[in-house]
Amino acid sequence: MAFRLPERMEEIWFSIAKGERETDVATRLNITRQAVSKAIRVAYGKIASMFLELAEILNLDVARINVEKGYMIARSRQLGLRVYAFYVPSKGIRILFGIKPYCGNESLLQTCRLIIDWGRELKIIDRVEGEIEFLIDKIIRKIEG
Amino acid sequence: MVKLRNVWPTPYNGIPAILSSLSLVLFVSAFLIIHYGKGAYDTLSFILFSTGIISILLSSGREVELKNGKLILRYGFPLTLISIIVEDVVDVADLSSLKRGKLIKYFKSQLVMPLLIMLLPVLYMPPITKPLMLLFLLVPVVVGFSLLTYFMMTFSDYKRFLNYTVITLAIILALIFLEAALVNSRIASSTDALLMLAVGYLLLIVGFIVFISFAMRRHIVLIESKRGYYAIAALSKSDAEALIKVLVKHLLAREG
Repeated sequence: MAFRLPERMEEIWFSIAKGERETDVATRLNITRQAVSKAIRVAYGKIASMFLELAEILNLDVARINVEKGYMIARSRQLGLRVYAFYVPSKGIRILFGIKPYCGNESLLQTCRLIIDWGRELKIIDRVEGEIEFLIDKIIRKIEG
Repeated sequence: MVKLRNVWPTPYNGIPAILSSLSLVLFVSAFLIIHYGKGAYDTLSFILFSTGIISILLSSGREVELKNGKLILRYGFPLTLISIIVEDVVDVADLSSLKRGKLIKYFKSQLVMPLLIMLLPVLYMPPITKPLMLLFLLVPVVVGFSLLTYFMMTFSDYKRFLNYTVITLAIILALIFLEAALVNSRIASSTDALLMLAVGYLLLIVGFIVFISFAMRRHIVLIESKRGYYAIAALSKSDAEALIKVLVKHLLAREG
C-alpha cells in the first residue's frame, strides 16, 4: 500500500482539515459538492487504512486515530514507547517517537519542522513562536487530550 | 452485523444523558418531599423515586453493535428501548490511554449531576442532632466529589486519586469501627462482637478495593462523529484496544 493520498484527493482533504467549507472547496476546484463529499469520505478511509497498516507493521497498540486532521497516537509493544504518526500533505506519513529530545538529529529535525507546519496549518497550534522542541511538545499535548 | 463483547455504551450524551440526570433530580426531589412533606406526600415521593429508578434503568448502556458501516449504541434494562446510530466517524480514541484525556472536555453537561448531588445536603438542611447524621450527609458530598474528579481529572491522575482514596477510607473506617467498639461496652466485652466488627470492616474494605480495581481497569473509548461525541466503556485495556481496531476497520477504513 502507498502511504500517500492521490494529489487531488489530498488537496480536498487538507482544505477541509484546515476548516474550509465543502461548498467553497467545490467552487474553487470547479467540481460538485457531492464529489468533494465523496473524496473526503474516501480520503478518511485511506488515511485510516494507512495508520492501521503502519500499526500492524510496527507492532503498535493504537490509542487514537483522527482522520479529520490525520494523526495517530500509539504505543510500541517492543519498545514500550509512545509513537506519533502524522499525515503531512505532499510528504505522506511522518513518525515521531515520544522521547525527548524529539528532534535530536538532522533527519528528526526535518520531520519536526514538517510536523510544526502541519500543526500550524491545521490550527492545532496557533502561534509558531519558541524553540522547535517546545512547539512539538505543544502539538503533542494538544493531540493527547 | 458485529456485536461487540465486553463493551457497553455510556449515558453521557443524548436521551440517555437526559434520563440519567433526570433520575438524580427525581431522587433529590423524592428525598426533599419526604423531609418537608412530613408524611403528607409520601405517595408522591414514592412515585418520584420509582420514576428515578426507571429512568436510570432506561439510560443504562446495554450493547454496542456494528451494522452496515454504522455504530449502534443500545440502551435500556431489561429491554432495549433507546438506540443511537453513529455515523460519519472522524476520531476514535482510548481516552484512558491518552496522557491528557479528560471526559469534561467532551461531555460538559455531565458536571450538572455531581454538582447537584453535592448540593443535596444544603437543599435538605436538616437540624443536625447526632454526629452520625453529619457523616450520613457527607455521603452525597463524597459521591458527588468522586464523580466530579472522574470527569475533571486525566485518567492517570484519577487512578492515583483512587489509590489515595482507598488508603484514606481504610484509615477513616478503621477509626470509626474502633470508636464504635470502644464506646459500646457490650461490643468491647464480647469476643464474638469484636470478631463480627473486624469481619465487617474487612468486607467493607475488600468491597471498596474490588469496586475501585474494577473502576481502574475500565477504559473509556471516545468516538467523535460529525454530530457529536459518544463514549463506550470497555472492561479492560485489551478490550479497548480490540474495540478501537474494530471501529477503525469498520467505520473509518471502510471506503479506503
